[in-house]
Amino acid sequence: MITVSRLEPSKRPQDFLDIAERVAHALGPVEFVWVGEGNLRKGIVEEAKDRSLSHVSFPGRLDDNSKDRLFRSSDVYISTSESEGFALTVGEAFLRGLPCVVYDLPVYSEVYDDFVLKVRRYDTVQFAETVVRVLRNPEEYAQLVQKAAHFVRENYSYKAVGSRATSALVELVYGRENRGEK
Amino acid sequence: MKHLRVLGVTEDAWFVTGGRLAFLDLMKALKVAENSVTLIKSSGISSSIIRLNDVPVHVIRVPKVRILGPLLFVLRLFFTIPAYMTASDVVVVNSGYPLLLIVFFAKLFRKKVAVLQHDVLSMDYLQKVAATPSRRITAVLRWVLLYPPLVLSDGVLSISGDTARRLRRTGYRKRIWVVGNVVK
Repeated sequence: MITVSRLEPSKRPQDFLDIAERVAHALGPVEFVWVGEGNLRKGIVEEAKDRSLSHVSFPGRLDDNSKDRLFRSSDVYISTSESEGFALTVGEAFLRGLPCVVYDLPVYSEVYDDFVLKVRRYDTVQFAETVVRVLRNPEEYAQLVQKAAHFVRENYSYKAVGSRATSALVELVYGRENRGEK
Repeated sequence: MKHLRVLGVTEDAWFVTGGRLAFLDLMKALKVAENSVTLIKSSGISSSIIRLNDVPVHVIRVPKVRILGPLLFVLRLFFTIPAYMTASDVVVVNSGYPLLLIVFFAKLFRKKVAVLQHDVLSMDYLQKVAATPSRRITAVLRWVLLYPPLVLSDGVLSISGDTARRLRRTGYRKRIWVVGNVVK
């Protein structure tokens, strides 16, 4: 289980611990890894230790290669964030073949269509149940993830974003009617 | 499609934030779309994460100190930006404290300014998540420099429709284009 995010209050790392505890209760010590630094790091590491969650680790910020390796050795991407501008790491997870379980924020449907598995906001019980379901039946979600990866490649490549941004800036500079070649 | 000479301006820092990475990726994406792109940024960690390849970058070196670092960046930007402004068709600035200064020079040089908006957070929310009194003060400063000056820009490039909607709820009335973010 992996998440990549800053350790900040809006990312709700306490929920991450709750979910890790519940999933471990159902399936045994499933490894949970939070990649990223932040103000809450010291406190949350101590809390994990106090709660004897030895299967939860906080390796800090990782370089791209290490992060990539970790992504590829994981089974599910989860995010307990309550505020996202785009949720980039969800897209990264799809490209590496992981199903994504997240809180139900409007941004996810907007950006990733219906490919994320959403649970009620702050409901760590439902969150853990969804994670357990995905871990028990990975083949059920394989096709969804494949489609999600295709969707991400189509819509969020450098070419796709560059084309949309260029079109917007040309409209800004020359007006709506002058977007084409002269 | 027409192609543009784009000047990008962003602050940077020594911790990673999604907004800054998104901005650097947008610069690369604009280059891939065959625009001429030049970037001015403060020293920081983001460009070691996103390799900018053939995008020319002018790095303004500032100390790793809160408040003083950003102040120095704005001061040095004041003397740097005019030379670049004349050679661009449009300025894209990352949502942040340099915006006011960029808008000032853009109006002076009659250039359009677009802001990349990654997220929209209320003052209440920023206060709630600030861990210390000094961070609460910084949060107020950032909010004041981030959101009210947006009305002076000519338009916003939004990272998602959700961000665009939240920006509209703050009263922003100018044009917003949803451009997305690069996923690798």
